[in-house]
Amino acid sequence: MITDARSVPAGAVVDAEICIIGAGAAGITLAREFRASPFRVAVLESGGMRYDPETQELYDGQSIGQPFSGLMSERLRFFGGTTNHWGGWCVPLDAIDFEKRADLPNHIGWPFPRSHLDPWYRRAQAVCRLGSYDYRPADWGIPEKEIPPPFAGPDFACRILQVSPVHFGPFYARELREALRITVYLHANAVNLDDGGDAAAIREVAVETLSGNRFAVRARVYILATGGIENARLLLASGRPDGRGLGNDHDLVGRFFMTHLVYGGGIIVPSNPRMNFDFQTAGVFSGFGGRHSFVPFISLSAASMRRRKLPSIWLHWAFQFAPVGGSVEALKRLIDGEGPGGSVLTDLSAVVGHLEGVADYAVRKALFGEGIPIEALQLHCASEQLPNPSSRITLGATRDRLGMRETVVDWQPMPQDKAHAVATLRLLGQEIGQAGFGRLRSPLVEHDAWPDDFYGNEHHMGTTRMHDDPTQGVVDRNCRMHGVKNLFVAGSSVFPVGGANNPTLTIVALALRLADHVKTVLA
Amino acid sequence: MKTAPLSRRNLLALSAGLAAAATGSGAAFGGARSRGDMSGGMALAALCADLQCPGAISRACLRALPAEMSAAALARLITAEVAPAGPEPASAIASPIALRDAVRTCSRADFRNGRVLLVDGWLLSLTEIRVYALAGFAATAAS
Repeated sequence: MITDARSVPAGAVVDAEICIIGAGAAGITLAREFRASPFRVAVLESGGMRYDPETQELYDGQSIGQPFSGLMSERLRFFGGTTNHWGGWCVPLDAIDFEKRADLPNHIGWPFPRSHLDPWYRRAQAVCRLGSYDYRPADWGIPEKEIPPPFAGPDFACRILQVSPVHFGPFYARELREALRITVYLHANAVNLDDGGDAAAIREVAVETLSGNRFAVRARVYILATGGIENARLLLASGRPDGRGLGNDHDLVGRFFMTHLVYGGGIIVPSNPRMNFDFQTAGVFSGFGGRHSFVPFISLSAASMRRRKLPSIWLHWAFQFAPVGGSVEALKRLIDGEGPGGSVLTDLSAVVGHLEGVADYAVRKALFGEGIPIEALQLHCASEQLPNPSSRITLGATRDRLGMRETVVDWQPMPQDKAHAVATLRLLGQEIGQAGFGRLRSPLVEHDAWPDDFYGNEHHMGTTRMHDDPTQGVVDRNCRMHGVKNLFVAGSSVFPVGGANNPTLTIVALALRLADHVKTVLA
Repeated sequence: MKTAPLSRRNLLALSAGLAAAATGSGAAFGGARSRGDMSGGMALAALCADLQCPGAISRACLRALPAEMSAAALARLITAEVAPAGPEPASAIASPIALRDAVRTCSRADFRNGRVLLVDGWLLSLTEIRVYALAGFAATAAS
């Protein structure tokens, strides 16, 4: 059932076995897993079914470190969470991301290897409506022999990410609405995790609506799933009144805040402007029981990362074409020849708008064949940010409409992050030169500072990181908060290391794994 | 002297030119190597002439090589690189086409061995930087 928290009687206490706070990718995945269970589940969602600026305003805060603009624009505070505007890009973290790497600062790895998570990754594929749990280009119609040096190894590798069509809110609303033992409370803001003063267990969650209604939820198990920043915020706002927050005996909650480091890597001038770039062209693959969208990208190989002491990176490029004479005429010919209903025509306006600049390679190729010279490849990079205890989420003095202290983001990439990015791009430049692929111009390599287009993206990680040692992490390997026996944390805040790959598939896999664990706890 | 930055169009043209180098006059570089049916200097000059290297690129490359500012020094270094010393003229510099291939081979070896420099943000091999710089002298001599 999906209901409105504003209609819950004031002062009521809602009883459930499981209370899930947050209805984004993690929260909805968790709730779905209990549909067939005997447990009553209460899901608390701050927003409604649609965007509402007043609710979104509750995300507001301030940035005091490296400029960080992700508080308001990148997150979404309504049913479905940030998946309401995500791109659907899914790829598991790499095996090397789970390893403890002594060659990188603060790189503590995960408490388990990637192989441990594989069964839940496979199940996450279905939740996200993806194809097979296989990310090799060859399985997506890109033969290995068509991948030119240096992108076939040994330092760089061509990879695939799959594109999920699922926006978790609208996609799974019906299932949750029809679930007999699940109640989703919309407009329900969790404002305090009440531990009764002893911090050993959560006694109840205090809930408020923007309309002023207040009630509580009591459960046997509580799962915090409000996102990489808000998870830390709610923990810091709860617990003892000394301001240290809940479960924060070792001053770790909110620390190690990471994003992926996004920047333009420069341009590559290809030696052969008419070479076949299909190996880096997004497409739709018919297979795995359906049609699935995919996007190729380039990464460092694990062997190269170890040998060169580099963290993960994600590289993609946009094609910059030479101006095409008579492009409009060519379009007309295409229209005449193809007739109405042609698939290419659906993008006609976009194509016309971009004919003289950057455009999609596949569309250009469809329009003009192989004869379009490519002047340059514009590199887009997303680098792994190394865990840094000084990069953190804290609470400010200003309070929001519900009386909660606002978020303060002190985002602090380390100098090593920049050095690693430079080293990787320099390696790329040397490799493409050695292979005869082309030449690289990178402002990143040339200057000391990050380029102007540098920013931390919407992948917020690390603020309640996972480690078996309570002095090193906020949650244990089962995502249970150290020292609080009935509180679990879901989402990317538990990532101790973020790699460079998009996090949502890992968030969903961890949520599935956590659901399995909670079932055993409650059984 | 203020120099315009290297554009990708210029570098693209240069890359294409390097791949398509053919014949030409080498009078300005005749002293680069003392013996040979077509002297190493002639082949080098022909290669440089056909590159039609934009002046901005040549000047930027020259700035990256402050100790190699003369055409003779550049030609000597390039020739020594592509055709290591021996009693007879090396086949690598017997013709512009052979020289082009040898330059390309050396350039790739430079990238492999980290013999690279940043020139206005471009990561280029030492050998090709020398060739582009020398091409600037060729253009000046021809004008």
